[in-house]
Amino acid sequence: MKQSVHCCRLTRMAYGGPEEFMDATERELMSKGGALPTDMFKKARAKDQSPTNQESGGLQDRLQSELLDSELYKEKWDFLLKRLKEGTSYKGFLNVDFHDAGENSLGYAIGGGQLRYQYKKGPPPTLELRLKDTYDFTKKGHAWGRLQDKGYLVTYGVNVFIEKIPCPEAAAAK
Amino acid sequence: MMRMDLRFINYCRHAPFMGIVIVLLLTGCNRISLKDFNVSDKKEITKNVVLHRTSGSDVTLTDADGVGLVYGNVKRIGFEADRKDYLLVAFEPFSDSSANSTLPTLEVSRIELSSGKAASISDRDGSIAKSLQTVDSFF
Repeated sequence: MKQSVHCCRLTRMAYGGPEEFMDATERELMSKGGALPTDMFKKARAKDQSPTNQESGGLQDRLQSELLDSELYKEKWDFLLKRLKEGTSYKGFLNVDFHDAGENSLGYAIGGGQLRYQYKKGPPPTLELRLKDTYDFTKKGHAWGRLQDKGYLVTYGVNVFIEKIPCPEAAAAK
Repeated sequence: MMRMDLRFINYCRHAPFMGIVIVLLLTGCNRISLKDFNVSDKKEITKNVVLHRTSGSDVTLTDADGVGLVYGNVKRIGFEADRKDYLLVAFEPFSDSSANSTLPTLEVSRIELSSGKAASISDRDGSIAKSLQTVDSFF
C-alpha cells in the first residue's frame, strides 16, 4: 500500500473587509442586528498561502501521525470499505468524533471533523480520504492558538491519498 | 525555647519539599485543557437523521452511522410545510479543491426522514432556503 500524505493547512490573514466574505445567511443575521458570525474572520484569513510545517512547529507532522496511527482511523477505513461494498455513493463523508482520543493528542483538541472520501473505479481502484474542518483556537496558550493570533487560520485539512491498492471489497461495489 | 527551636528546624527541613509542591501546583494550574477547544455536539432529528456540529463553523447532516446525507456544510433547516416526514436542508457544498474559491451558493435538498434518502430541489431565487431556520437554532 502506498500512502502519500499532505497534512493540515494553515492560511494567513489578508482581507479588506469582513462583509466581503459573508454568505447570504451571515449577511441576514447581521442585518437583524445579531452578533457577527464567528467564522467570518476565518474566511477572511483564508485567502493567503499556508505556512510550512516548520512554521507550525511540527504540529502538522504530529497530527498526521497521530491520526494515521489511531484506532478510530482504522475503524473508519474498514467501515467505509463495507459501505462501498454495500453500494453506497462513491463520493461522500463520514463524521469523525475524536472524543475517545488521548487527552494530550491534537485530535482531542479538534473535537471532530468530516472524513471525506472519493472512490475511483480505476483501473486500479483507488480510495482518496481527506479530513478537513475549520476550527477556532482563540483561547490563549494553545500552540495553534498562538499561530492563529499571528493571523494564521487552522483549517485542519489532513489529506490522505491512498493510491494503487487492490481495494477488493470496494471493487465489488456497483 | 527548646520547643521553638525544634519547630524551626522541622520547618527548615521541609521547606525545599514545600517549594517543589508549590511549583508543581503552579505548573498544573497553567496547563491547558485541550478538551475546551472545539467541542463537538450532535442533535438527533430522528434516529436515522442526525445533525453534527464538529466546529464553530461546520454542521453536517448524517445517518445513524455518521455517513453524510448531503455533501456540504448545513446552514438552514426546517420541515416541509405541513409535513413532518420530510426535512428541507440548505447547505454549502464542500469544496474539494485546495484553492479558496469564491463564495459558495446554497443548495437545497429534501430528506425523507424514514429512509434518510436525499433528493436535490431547485431553489434559484433562494426563497426555499430563506424560509428555513438557521441551523444555530437547533443547538
